[in-house]
Amino acid sequence: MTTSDAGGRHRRPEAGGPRQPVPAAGLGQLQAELEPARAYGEGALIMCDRLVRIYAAEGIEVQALQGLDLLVAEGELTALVGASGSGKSTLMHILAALDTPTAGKARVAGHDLAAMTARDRLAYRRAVVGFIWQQTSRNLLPYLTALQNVIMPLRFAGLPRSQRARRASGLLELLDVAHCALRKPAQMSGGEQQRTAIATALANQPRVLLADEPTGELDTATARDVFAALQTVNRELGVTILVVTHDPAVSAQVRRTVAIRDGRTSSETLRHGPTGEDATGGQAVEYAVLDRAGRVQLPREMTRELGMKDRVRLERERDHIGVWPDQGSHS
Amino acid sequence: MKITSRPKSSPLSGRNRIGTGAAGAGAAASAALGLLVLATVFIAVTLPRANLGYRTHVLQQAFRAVPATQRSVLADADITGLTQSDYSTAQVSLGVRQVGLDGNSIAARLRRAGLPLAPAAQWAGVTATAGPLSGAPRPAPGTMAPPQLELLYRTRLDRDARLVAGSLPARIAGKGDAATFQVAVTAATAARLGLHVGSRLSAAGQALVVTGIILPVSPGSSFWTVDPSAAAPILTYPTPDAAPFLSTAAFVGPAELRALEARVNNQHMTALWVFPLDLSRVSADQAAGLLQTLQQVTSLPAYAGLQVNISTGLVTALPPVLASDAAVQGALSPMFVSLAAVGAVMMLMGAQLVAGHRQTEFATMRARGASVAQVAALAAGGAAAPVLPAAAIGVTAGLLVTPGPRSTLALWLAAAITAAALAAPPLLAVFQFRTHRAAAVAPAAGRGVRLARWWVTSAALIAVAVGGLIILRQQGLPPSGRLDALTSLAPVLAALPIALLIVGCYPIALARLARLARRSRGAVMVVGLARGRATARSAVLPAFALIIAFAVAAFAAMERGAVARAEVAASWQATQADAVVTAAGGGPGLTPSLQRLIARLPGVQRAATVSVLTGSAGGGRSLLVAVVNPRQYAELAAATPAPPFPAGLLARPPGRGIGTTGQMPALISPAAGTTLGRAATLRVAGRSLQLRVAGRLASIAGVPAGSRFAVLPAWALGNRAPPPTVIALQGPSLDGGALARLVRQAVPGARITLRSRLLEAIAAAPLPHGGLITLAQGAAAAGVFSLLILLLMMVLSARSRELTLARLDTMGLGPTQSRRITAVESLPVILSAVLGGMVCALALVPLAGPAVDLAAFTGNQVRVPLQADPLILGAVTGGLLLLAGVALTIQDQLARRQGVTQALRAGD
Repeated sequence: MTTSDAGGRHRRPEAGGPRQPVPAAGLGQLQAELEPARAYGEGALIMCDRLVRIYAAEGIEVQALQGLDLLVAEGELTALVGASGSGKSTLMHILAALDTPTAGKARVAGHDLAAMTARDRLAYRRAVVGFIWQQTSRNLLPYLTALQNVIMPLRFAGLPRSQRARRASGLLELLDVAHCALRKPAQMSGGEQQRTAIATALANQPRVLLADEPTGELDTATARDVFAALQTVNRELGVTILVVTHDPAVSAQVRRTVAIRDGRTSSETLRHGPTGEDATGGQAVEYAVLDRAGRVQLPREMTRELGMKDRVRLERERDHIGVWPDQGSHS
Repeated sequence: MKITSRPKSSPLSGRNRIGTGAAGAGAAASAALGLLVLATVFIAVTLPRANLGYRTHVLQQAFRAVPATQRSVLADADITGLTQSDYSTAQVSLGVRQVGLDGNSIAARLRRAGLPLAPAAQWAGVTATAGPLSGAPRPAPGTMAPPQLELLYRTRLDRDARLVAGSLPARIAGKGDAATFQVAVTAATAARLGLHVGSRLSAAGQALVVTGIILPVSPGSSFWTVDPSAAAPILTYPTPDAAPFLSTAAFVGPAELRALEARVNNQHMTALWVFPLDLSRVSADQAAGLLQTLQQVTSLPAYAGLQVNISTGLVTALPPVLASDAAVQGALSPMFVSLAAVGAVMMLMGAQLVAGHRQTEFATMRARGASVAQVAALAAGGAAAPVLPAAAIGVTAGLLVTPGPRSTLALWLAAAITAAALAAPPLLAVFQFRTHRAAAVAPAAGRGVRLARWWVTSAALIAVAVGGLIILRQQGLPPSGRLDALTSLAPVLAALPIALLIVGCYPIALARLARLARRSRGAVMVVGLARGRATARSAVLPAFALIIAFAVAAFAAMERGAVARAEVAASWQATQADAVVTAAGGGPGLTPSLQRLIARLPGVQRAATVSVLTGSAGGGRSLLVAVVNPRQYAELAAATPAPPFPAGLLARPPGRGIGTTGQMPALISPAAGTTLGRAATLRVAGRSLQLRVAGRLASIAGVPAGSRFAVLPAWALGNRAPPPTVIALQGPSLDGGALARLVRQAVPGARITLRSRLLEAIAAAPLPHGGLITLAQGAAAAGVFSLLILLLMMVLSARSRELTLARLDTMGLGPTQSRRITAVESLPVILSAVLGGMVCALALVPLAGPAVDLAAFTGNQVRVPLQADPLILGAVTGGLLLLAGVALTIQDQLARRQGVTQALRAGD
């Protein structure tokens, strides 16, 4: 029988010797082994398990998502990055119940997005999730004022009239666009429009806010303002936020950045230390994602540099796994 | 905690400013829908109302032509036995009050039945046949029997007659055998019988004294025409063998009615109630209902023991008017149905336009939690904003432009169009934004699947349309003048498969052309054809509507052409020549010198004389006899559209002298065929001729069309041939004025008939004239619809086209090339519409043409078949191409206003 220490190393007991007491850490692991296996993503607010989305266009099938795994805990502010066509927007649309996965599971706040009826979907969009698009023209109706735009989702949800204006005004106040309440989008700056869009997305007090490149059309200063608004919403209201962005300045301000490549999560960058507008640094460590099938996406620049392709050789070291090109050897 | 923001950048600077393109485009789409609704509602209101106006004008003219008595409902009851047997019972006898009450009661029943009575003109009376009149100062001549007198009581004598002498009859004077009725007579009666105030008469043992002489106030009213002898004595021939007599009448006063019933009790007595109808507000749409009511009101339940008979002359006068109206409407119904189909397509395209512009907005709302029903409600509200005011304006403008009777059809059409315009956008929104799950579970079909779906759907629709056309042919066409729904739908049924086939096939043709165009150096054909091919499927609706509009315009023009030909044929049939001079009977006729003078008038190319006499075929059968010079008349007929005159059949056999005996060849009319057999004896001009019927002739100059006549050669009568009474002239540019002056001077009382004047009168007749105007209006409406469809088609593809052109503009595309690309892109649809429209119009000629009774337009039985006219098709094609040019110009002007930068931003 072998045991493992806290570091997960396995030890053979000394032959013939009396049985030594099991350290506390080992008891924890034993307990974990004896407990029934937990479901994947249990406890996470957003869970994507081997998510697949295939589109058929002009007779060609496009696999936008190829078995994507993602877990987001409640209250997180997470950035999603990736090249064009990597599947970011597809993922966002699925999480917003604007699209349905072809295979796999996606659960948000306990709602199974693959098994929802139309009525469930409608209730989900009204109460669980808010969405912000890149184009402000898509977020706001051009013929309504800011206040009316924020009130609009409350009307759809059937909130009594007396509460609508109060809640809408509060949100505009929170996002520092109260002065734009009676202005139409054409009378607001880009930053004011996006903050109004954030207020609109928060109107029904969703648990999750999805933002698809919210700062894509804004200049640097305004983009910073908008992102700061998102951070404050996350901090003050506890809303879990998932932001798709190409902007490195944005991804540098979140604790966790998930990179998507070829329809799967490829790496995550975790920042330890203060983040946000006044962040002076914080250490960022990039991790390759190990999915449930045990697959890892090796960074392209590394594999290219080392000439790794088709096959690699794995060697178990004492505390790591070595990955070697199939023709090279380490010395 | 508030979020403090950095100092704001300029609110409207650079990247931060969002254009108003989206909002502006939505407003433009709504305005376009409003304009569409306004134009369609306006046409839907004006066409039927104008048509109803013409028809009602014709109907009212027909009413005015009907005598007043026929325009009234007459109720009469024989009260002879009643008064006789119930003389002692005062309550039962028909007193003045009872007459009035009975009249009111009958009027109430008639009104309940739905008849439009004119209560102020209603009157009643009692007529008693008093018998032979004696004592008149001016007795009847010996050849006549004594005058017969009717004693009349009328309720409105004091209003319908004007007293010119004496006083109106008051009460019976004296008692018992000495009782004397006071009576009033008309001036005409008094003059004929030599009466004056105070004249004493006797009839049926009753003494009468004339107390007043009266004149009719309205001689044409029913008061004086229901019994013509009331106004003036009428010479009556009881039987051919009996001596004639004068029928006369005298009026008694109200106070004398009971005495009349009591004393003139062995004669026929009738109670009469006359209810003139107020027809001034009866429209053509209501005429059929009126006729039906009149036919149903033929008797009433017995009242107070009287059997009242109801009659009205309108039941015989109305049916021919209604039949003509129905025939004209039948000829117009395919046009109306087709325009309705085009209007429906336009509403759908307008809704597509609005839905397309609001798609992003609705998608945002759906993402924000709007249900499908809420989005549909928003779409409906958005549509209501432009549609309702536009519909109100369209209806108001339509009503103002076409004053006249109320048309239920017009209001229903306006309501249907408004409802369609309001319902289409929300329905489209529901279709577009039904659950995402449905769209996601069923992955988007590939090109092959979409193509297969297109062809299957098209095949199904084609099968339905062709099936309808086959049924139409198999069931046979309805009796002409009574088009049924299927025949009225013929243009739509014919256009549908044509549109589907053309639109389905032209992408293939475009692909071939595009391949050829790639070899050229320019970009116009390549880009234009590629865009045309890309938008082919969306061109089905516009192509379908344009084909129908083309077919409507062409069919209307062909109907108009056929009517024009029929009118000309009718004028030839009536006159047989360009001018006919008919001398008055009993005169010297047309002398040879006069004939020469007439023949030498400017414009006269040929002349032929006809002597028209009356002949007798024995057994009392008379017929007209036309005596002609066969060769002369044949030359004239050969120069006209009339059928050739068979002069050879009337030629004198060799060796036969003029005026000799023996069988004489004759041509007879179809109507005379029943009068004369193959051989008959005809007595004419003092001679008895043995006729040999050599052939039939439908008509000849100087003889009314359709009458019984025989045509003899002049040599058959020899020197007994009378001088000509008719001269027929041929010459397209005949000087009618000179002819009239000559004839007035030389032949007083002669009648001149100019074919050109007759043609004008035929063409100007109200019913056909109104029908032709409606055809023209329908063709114009088709033109307006075509322009709107072309504009809509361009606007629907405007966004993608402007984006393409704007991007090409950045690569160096010039404005002229841009316009050409737009034209090339639209050309396939336009050419498809032209080709399909021609095929549809040509197909309609055999499909629906025979069912269209164009004789109703000419007012006679001349039937001219509908013909496909290449000139008409060419003219309509030119019109469509012109409209396409106008639409392209408008589209170009609108596009220029936006500019490249705006277009590129709008595409983001």
